[in-house]
Amino acid sequence: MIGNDVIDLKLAEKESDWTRRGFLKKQFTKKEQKSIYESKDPFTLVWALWSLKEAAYKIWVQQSKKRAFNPLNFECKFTSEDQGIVCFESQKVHTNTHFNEFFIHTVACFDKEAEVYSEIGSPQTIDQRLKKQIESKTGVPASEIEQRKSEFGVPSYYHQGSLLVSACSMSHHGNYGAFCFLEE
Amino acid sequence: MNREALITTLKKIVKPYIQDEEAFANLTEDTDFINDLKINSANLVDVVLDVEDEFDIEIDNDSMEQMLSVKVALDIIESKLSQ
Repeated sequence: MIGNDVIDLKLAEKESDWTRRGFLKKQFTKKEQKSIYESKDPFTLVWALWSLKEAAYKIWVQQSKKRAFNPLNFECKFTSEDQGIVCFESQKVHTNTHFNEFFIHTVACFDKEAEVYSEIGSPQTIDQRLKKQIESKTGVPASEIEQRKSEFGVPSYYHQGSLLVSACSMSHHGNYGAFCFLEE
Repeated sequence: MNREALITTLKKIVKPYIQDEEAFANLTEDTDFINDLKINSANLVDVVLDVEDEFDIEIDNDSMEQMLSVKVALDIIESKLSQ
């Protein structure tokens, strides 16, 4: 299982005020809040931690087959500049985050050594990019690949009824679209 | 406040965050904040905080977890208001 989350930083800055009263308390654990308050760049850390929570949440949805707005159940921390861990329901996932001034993108999976393919692009073309990538892995033409979404919004990809890729995650925010899948 | 008045107030609260105008125009109790109104998950907390401010109630974490649809939001608001 795999999860990913992309955050358009310009949009996050415009649409959300992380300094709003209650914003941190409702979504970040005490430890996370402390790291945010102690950070030299709290804005970036807020959204980086949020991307960890969302990427791990997408794994939780696949497992639990439920939806919830439960960010406090996902305790996150960075173990290095780009690596992190998220703990939820006695489980742990490893994360890898890519930062630049425009976006933050996090991929989460259980196996730290898992081989992951991920891409970031525009939200308009990301579905096609993903199909092209599956085409190059499987030889099935992109035009014949069908996306199906579970009732919880988890995508999987089929060709003439047979499953091509299931360990896959999509994310959209603002000017960015991203996907990742486990190389099997 | 009756259910209809609650829906009107809730509509006013969610309006700044919705990304699907048509779903918003046709909002019913079955409308889902994320799947239908396309509210960004990062803005769900703003909906929760705005509801708290508007109704002067506190939404605990267990309630917040369930607050993904109009119906559940209304149920939570009603139950908190009656406490």
